[in-house]
Amino acid sequence: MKTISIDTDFSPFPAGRYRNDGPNSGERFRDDLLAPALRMEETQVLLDGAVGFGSSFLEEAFGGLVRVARFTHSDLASRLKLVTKDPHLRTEILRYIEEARAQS
Amino acid sequence: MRIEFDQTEQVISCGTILLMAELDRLRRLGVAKRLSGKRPKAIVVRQVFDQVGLSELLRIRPKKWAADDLPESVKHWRFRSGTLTEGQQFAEPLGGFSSRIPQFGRLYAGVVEAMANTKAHAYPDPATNPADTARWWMFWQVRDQVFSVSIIDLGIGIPKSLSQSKRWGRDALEQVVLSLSRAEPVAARILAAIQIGRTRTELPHRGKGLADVVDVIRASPGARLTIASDRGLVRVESEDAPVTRDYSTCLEGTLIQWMLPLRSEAEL
Repeated sequence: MKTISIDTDFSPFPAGRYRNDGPNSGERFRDDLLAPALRMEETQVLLDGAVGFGSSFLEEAFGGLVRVARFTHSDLASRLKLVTKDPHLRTEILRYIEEARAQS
Repeated sequence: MRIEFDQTEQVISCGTILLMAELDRLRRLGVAKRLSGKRPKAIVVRQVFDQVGLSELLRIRPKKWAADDLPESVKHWRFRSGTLTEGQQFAEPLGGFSSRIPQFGRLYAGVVEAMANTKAHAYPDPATNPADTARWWMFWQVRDQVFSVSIIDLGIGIPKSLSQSKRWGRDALEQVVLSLSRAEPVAARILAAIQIGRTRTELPHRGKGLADVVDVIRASPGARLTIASDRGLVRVESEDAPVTRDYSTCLEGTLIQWMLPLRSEAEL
């Protein structure tokens, strides 16, 4: 299993939706780290090292897995593991994935 | 033009950041060359001017104060400005102090979404405007055990941004505004933008940022959020119903201010 620690492998300051929004955007996280890892193997994402997450970052990073990177809901259910002590954060991410599925 | 501050005895963060933003915009447009200021006589006001960079914008030579010379009410004033959504601009300088700010992760989310909104919604079409005009300015400070952070843009304002939404047709929009009819008309549009979570961006997966702006207040007892945009003002405190007000004068942009009581040493 691949492990991505958001603070050490990406940034402790995730923010923004698109690459041109800023250096630590959801699009960059998804396209450079998360989607390539998920295409190779099961991946766990350690979320708790980040300072916080805006909804733009989360929606683009995780909802974008379905909307842009074309993962199916079942792909993600079997390959993506979210590791956090914050149950609200997990729920929010799963909601973005579900909303992207419903809109696709 | 010379602005005289020698009689100024007190400065308030919201007014100061608006002044700084306007001066900075003039400077960036190259039309502030004839602008200067007169130094405040009150030491604390002068320290604030020097600390946040207002002195430099007014061509007043700042004094280099020793940290011990600065009172607590001045020491933590910080100023940042940018055009990108960069959370580190806010969180990094705070360092370990952020542990004293309740729900800091949620506050961070609100601040970065406010930065993001600047680019996505606040200004006219960026394709027809220089990128550097889509700018935000930010202050934060600690005073009387309260942490406050203010972020401002000089864009079209939330009410106008909402009016330009094509996805939310006029009928639907008016229904939302009517449902908030106890609110003042312009402030009601700010409330509507919070409720429908969408302004000029038409994509269905976008426009959730204003919820992040409000969430930290709902989760923090004693916290307060103020959103001033165009002629309207909305204030939210914990679980209370929002307070709204319309003014006769227009703030040319949007100002968001969060105020959160600090956690005591014993709570850490």
